Amino acid sequence: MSLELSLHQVSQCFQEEGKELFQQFSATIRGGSKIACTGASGQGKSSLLKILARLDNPATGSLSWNNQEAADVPITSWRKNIHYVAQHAIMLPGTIEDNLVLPSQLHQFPFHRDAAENLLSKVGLEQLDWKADASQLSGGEQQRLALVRSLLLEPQVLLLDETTASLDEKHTLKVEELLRSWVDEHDRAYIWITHQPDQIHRIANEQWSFKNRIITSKRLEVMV
Amino acid sequence: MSYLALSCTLIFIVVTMIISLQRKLDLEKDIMIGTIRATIQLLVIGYILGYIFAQHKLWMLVGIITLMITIASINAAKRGKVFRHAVWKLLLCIGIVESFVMLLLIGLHIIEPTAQFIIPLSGMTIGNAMVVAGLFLTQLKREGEASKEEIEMLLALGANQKQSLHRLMQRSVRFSMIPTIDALKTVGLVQLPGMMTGMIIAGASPTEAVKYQLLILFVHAGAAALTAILMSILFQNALLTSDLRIRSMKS
Repeated sequence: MSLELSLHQVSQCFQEEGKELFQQFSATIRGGSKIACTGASGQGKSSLLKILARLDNPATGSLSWNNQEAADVPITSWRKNIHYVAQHAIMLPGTIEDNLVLPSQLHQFPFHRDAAENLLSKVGLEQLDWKADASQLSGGEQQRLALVRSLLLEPQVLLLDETTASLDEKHTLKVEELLRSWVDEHDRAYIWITHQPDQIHRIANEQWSFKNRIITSKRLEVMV
Repeated sequence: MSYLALSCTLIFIVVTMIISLQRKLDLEKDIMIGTIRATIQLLVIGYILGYIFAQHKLWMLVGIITLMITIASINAAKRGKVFRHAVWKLLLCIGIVESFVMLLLIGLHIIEPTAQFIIPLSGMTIGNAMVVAGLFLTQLKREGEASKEEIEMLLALGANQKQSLHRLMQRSVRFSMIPTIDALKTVGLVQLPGMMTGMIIAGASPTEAVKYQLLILFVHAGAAALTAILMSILFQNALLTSDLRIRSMKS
């Protein structure tokens, strides 16, 4: 069954002041959706992704997943399928291997070493010593490792919060290629916050622009 | 010891206050208030205990232990003002620990079921549980702020409540147990515990004093572990909402 994640009239307010962050927004994300979220800082892009991951509640509106209301889907299962990757990679204290096996431990499915090795090589981390302390990796390495960890969760929709922000051009392109093929080959979807104008057309077939509390959506041609 | 001899020991307090004045530590007022409070509290409790021991009434015994638990809970809850229902949870936690320890000690005929044994041992147990619970809440609050991103990462990966808080709770339990474990390791080498010293001074044989001190140490260690574990269970939902989002902590 093809995935379908829908937002119905979702809006958000600043927690403290209660002022509107963005107005009501409706959209449907389907298999193959590659969405770029753009706009200045503080417009609510990360907030929207956290609402989609149900890490935050919206001020108004609701979400549904494959025609099921969000409240009817167990929260752990929702977050396994609709997974938020934070802007700053957070490593679990321990080794690189501890971090890689984490998704399979949390959801009790077998860990596929080959799949992990394959993903690591695609993001340029094939040389890593799995027994090394994950906190000793550079910021860029941690960000790529966090992405691999997220892919090992086998989600349906990835919510990427500036996931290539601390990467050089070479690794940015590698990550883009990996994620594009991940969507295309498995009929999955991602929503990707980016502040790099040249990246939008490489990664997205749809753009959500955040400006003056309004989110507008438009179709794009992917140009690689 | 005569009251005159006891009064002479106030010289230590006077010396401390003079040092504080000279060094401008601004501690004189606190030391003075602390000394007066400690003196009044201990004299009052001495008379109350003497009265209760003479009465042999169960309701008095239960009343004073309930009062001890309540004061300990209110005091420990000050460390966790950001957590909802902290006092109630502490009352439950310290209440369970105290009941467990007393049932065990009396049930196994380790102590006699009299106020003379129950009240001092309860005081030690409740006081120790209060310290452990206070340390647990201090660390839990610190962890809740410092490990927010780690918790959110785990939640985003689909972790349930137990999985997302497991490491944090483990660290909080360990932290709250540090004084107890350190005391177990160094007792007899670095310090001679108060109870044992008191018994020896009062004329008991050192081996008899050691037996009681060991009893206290083991009871303390067990009660501390039980307190820390109960706290980690009772405060499991203090950091997360029922739909597994991070609860905002406002002091």
